[in-house]
Amino acid sequence: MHDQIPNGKLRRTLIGGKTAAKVGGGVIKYLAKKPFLSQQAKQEARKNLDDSSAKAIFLCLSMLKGTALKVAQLLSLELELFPDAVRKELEKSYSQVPPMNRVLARKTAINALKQRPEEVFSSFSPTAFAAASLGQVHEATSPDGLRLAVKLQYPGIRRTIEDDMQLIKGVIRPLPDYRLIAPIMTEIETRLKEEIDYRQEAEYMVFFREKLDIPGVIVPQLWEAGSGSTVLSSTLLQGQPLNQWLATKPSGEERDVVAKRLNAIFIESLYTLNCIHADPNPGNFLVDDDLNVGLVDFGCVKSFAPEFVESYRQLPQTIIRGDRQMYFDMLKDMRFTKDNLPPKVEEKIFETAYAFGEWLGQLYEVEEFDFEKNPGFIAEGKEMSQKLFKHRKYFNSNPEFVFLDRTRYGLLRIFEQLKCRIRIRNPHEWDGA
Amino acid sequence: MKISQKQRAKNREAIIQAAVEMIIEKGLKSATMRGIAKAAGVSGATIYNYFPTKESILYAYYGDRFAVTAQTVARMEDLDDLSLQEHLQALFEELLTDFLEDREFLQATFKAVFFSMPPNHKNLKPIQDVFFDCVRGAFEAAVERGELEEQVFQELVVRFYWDYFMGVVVYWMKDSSEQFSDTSILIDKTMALGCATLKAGVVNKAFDICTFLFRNHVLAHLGSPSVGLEVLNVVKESFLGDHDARSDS
Repeated sequence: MHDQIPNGKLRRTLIGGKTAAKVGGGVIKYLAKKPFLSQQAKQEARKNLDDSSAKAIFLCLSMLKGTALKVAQLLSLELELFPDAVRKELEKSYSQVPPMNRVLARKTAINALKQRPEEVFSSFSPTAFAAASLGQVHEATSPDGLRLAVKLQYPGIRRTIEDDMQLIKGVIRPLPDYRLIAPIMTEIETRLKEEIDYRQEAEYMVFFREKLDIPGVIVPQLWEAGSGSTVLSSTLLQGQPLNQWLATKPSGEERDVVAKRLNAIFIESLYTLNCIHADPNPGNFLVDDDLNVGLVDFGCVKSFAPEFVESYRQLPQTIIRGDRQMYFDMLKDMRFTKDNLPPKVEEKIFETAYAFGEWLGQLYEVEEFDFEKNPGFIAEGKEMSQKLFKHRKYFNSNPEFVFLDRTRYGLLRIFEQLKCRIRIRNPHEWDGA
Repeated sequence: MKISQKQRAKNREAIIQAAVEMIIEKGLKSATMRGIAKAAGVSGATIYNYFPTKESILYAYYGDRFAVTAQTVARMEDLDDLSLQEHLQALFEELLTDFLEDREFLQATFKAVFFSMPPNHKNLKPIQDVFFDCVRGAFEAAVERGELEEQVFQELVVRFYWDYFMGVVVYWMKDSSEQFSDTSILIDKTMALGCATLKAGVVNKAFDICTFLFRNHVLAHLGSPSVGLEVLNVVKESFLGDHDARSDS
């Protein structure tokens, strides 16, 4: 029996409410214990709390599927503001999605294509081979023999996004980190709405296919005849998702090659196209036998103003030179913080940002950075970013920074998982590189 | 003048189609046999060779649609491969797809045809039989595959699916979601629940409880004559007592 997205606000509210009660209960238990606990016991209690609330939340999110799944993915990539235990549960969501059954998938395909699948494709597999954000992916063949990946959006998803977000906010409200998470949820909501627009995604796919020219990097080709506002067909790429590929225990050299290509995708997109694929979910990178990296899912693409990119380009070297004042000036130029902040507050934020920059700068200080030999690197950055994040209310709501940081950070986390050695210095950010 | 079988079928189809158009346009009440005949290109008298009443045209329409869908489903390539839920879901979805073009006609006539009081069993039966055959087919296939155990009250369950489908159509007729995706989701959810219940053998288990209770508490007592007599005496006394009391008054 296949599980489906529970639809209908009432049902969703019931699920959400149940989880909120569970999480709430856990928090109360923690607070009740708190005054009597030693420092160590307190931490232990806090950890237990995270574990149980993580389970409750994940249960709820996976029941809601659809939007919730996407939120789970986004949050797990987020600046690790979620307690570790929660994040771990959320990460499971990458692979664990109960699919739409064959008949519903077919019906959804008919609705999306406005024709029966057999009239559009020469073959169409009613069973999905992968989960996609807010949908699932089916294999098909075009009449002229191209192997295709057809992404189908879950039915009714458009209408439920707002309800879902409302619910999820309710669910996470009792969490200790709620105040930090809340603004992220708003951003996620905006992104979700962009992401269900498959027409837009098709345009981005074509854009990257045409403009991104990196050896060993493959962007699928759009197949227009099988695409619409809720369906997207493109050539099927070989290879397996990064996480699965990593599980096959590739050699160090192989991991280095893949990391280099992933990095090139980011650097080239940002500096030559001023436009990045801003969803570094490991499921969006496919690695084939020749270590080619396939880039899929163009649901979240961000463009930047050339002036912004120009300033951003200079940040690493400024840090390495230790030119504190210039760094501060650049942040000002990039409108990093809100206007008219009291100088003391601004100074403090810049200091924190500078510390974060120094952390990032370590990557540039060496010819090649070895993630295997620096296992605590990401954890250290996490601490820095959390410190920085505490000043969030003073930041200018400059979405360019948010997306850029998130993507870059997501990429670094992937490098950490890859345990690779990689040259981060590049001609765009480093003179003479 | 004798007309060919082919022409007869053609006329019949034309009349049904004309009735559909006219009812969509004018409503069920305002559509007349004469008007339908005219629109179908047959004489006002000829139409009665095909249908004795306006209602019988409606039943013929629904009968045809169910029959066509039953064939479509039977011809589906991967039918044997489908689970019970998928099989039944395909039947429901195909029926709705087939009705889609005439959705307004359904809105105008569905209630009169399927919820008339008293129900018109004679006309409904052939339509229901086609539907029952389809559902029964899905059940039997599932039993054969080992997906489902034999249902004690299979016929009853099959009939229940008719009422369930009627409910789905009523929902669909009011559904205003894009491409009626809400109806698809409703079918999906309810079907999942229904099939899970069947697979868990809920009906069979409920029947087991009934037989257990019946055997232990009714049959067992009947086996002991003294208890039986006792019961009889009680009944007798109360009856007589009652009788006496009444005759006293």
